[in-house]
Amino acid sequence: MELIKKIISGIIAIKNGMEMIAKHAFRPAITIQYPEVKDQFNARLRGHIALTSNEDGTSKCIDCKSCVRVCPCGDLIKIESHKDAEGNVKIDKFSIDLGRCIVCGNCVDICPKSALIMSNNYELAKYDKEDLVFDLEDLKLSYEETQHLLKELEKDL
Amino acid sequence: MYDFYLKIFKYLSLPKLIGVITWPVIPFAAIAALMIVLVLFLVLLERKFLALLTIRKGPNRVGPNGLFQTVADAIKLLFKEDIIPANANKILFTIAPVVFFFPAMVVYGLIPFAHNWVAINASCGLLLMLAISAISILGLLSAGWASNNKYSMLGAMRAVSQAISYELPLVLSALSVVVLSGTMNLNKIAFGQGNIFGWYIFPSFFGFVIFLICTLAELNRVPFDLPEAESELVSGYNTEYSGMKFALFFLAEYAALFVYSALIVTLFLGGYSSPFGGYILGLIPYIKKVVFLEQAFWLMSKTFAIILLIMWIRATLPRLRADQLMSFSWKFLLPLSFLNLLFVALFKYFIG
Repeated sequence: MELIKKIISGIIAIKNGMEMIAKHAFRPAITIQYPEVKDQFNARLRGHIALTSNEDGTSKCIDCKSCVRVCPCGDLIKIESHKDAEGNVKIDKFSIDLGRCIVCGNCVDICPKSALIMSNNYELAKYDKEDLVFDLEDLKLSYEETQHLLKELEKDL
Repeated sequence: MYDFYLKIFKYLSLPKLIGVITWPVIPFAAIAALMIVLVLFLVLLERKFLALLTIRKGPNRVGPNGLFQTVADAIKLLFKEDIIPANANKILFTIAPVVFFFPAMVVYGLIPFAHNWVAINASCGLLLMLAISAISILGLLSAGWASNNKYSMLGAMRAVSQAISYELPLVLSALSVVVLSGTMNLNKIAFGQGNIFGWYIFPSFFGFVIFLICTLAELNRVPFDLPEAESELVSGYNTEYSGMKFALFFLAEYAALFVYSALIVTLFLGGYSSPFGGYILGLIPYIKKVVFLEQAFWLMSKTFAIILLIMWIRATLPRLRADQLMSFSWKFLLPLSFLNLLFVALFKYFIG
């Protein structure tokens, strides 16, 4: 009697499993064909550090060097600037060595002018370590991109 | 056919002896070609079907929709280096894949693909089939032993113990079909079943289930894939194999999958005969001669139904433990197959 009970429960278990798998056959594949199709990530994704920009395309950075001081990895961030005739700070050079960056976000938190932001770009594979030293041109987001990112971040809060 | 074949040689003014010698080779050449194409297709089918069941896409890079994936894999395996481990038994190591491969190929000759379309029309076809396919275990054992590798040895030992314990219920459930049909000739077994109501699955249902389970065990497929359990043994008996030798193991496995499915169909599901009794092609006077095409179609469609069932099982069930495997065979399947045999004999005596 015990044996028959066992057999019946076994058959039912197998039947349920087979049914479940058969149901899955009619679902569309959840595979994302990565290089061709990219997944949509949340705006809070900690991609690499990027520089926000004003409406006229200039950086918000005032060369206070707070980010340099707060960085736990030493001298990743290198900033050079000069003052123009009206006394505004103009950034000449701004580079981050993303090869050594641990994406902790301290620089983003400390920045008094919100000149730094964490972008959504996570594709950092390069053939050479030197290519990972991003300069001003690589780091800068356009005004539209900045606004979009900020809006998305606000939506999340 | 034979006379026509010899006439070709006469017409080409070639010696008749060549024709006499090459005549028996032709069916085997045809079977070998069929087997290679089938295996290439089966591997792709398995990968695609498993992907469908597990909500993936499967291979889709080589060719349209990944159609040439297995061809690419085969070419890759052909060009790979053939490595023999330093401390391996070189002769056994080389012979093992061949010993594993040739029973799977010979057995193809015993399957009736249409009425009287059998390469070897032996009167004891079923017995011959079971006997020959059991030789492949020897190949596994020698592969595992000759590799001089713990994983290979364990895999081979598991394979042998499993194959031997599941051979008994397999043969006993096949015997129930022999009781029903009164013959061991596979062609006659298939022919004797006729339409769907005559299929031997109905009197011998438990025989069918036991045969299917034992087939899974003989083929080392999930849930009985202990000999090649990836999570425990690296890859079982073929851990040390590479290149073409590994390809032979792979080829034989999938060839055996097809041939065992065809055997299940022949024994229990009417073989090449149509489930509706008559043949559509048989009704038309002039095309009557090609009725074997329809018979081959029925055999193939039933066989692929069984193959898909086996793949479906693979996608669902987890692997058994070694002791569960043994007790399942000896304590459950063997008594059940005896009971089934008794029931079938009584059925045959009183009703059939």
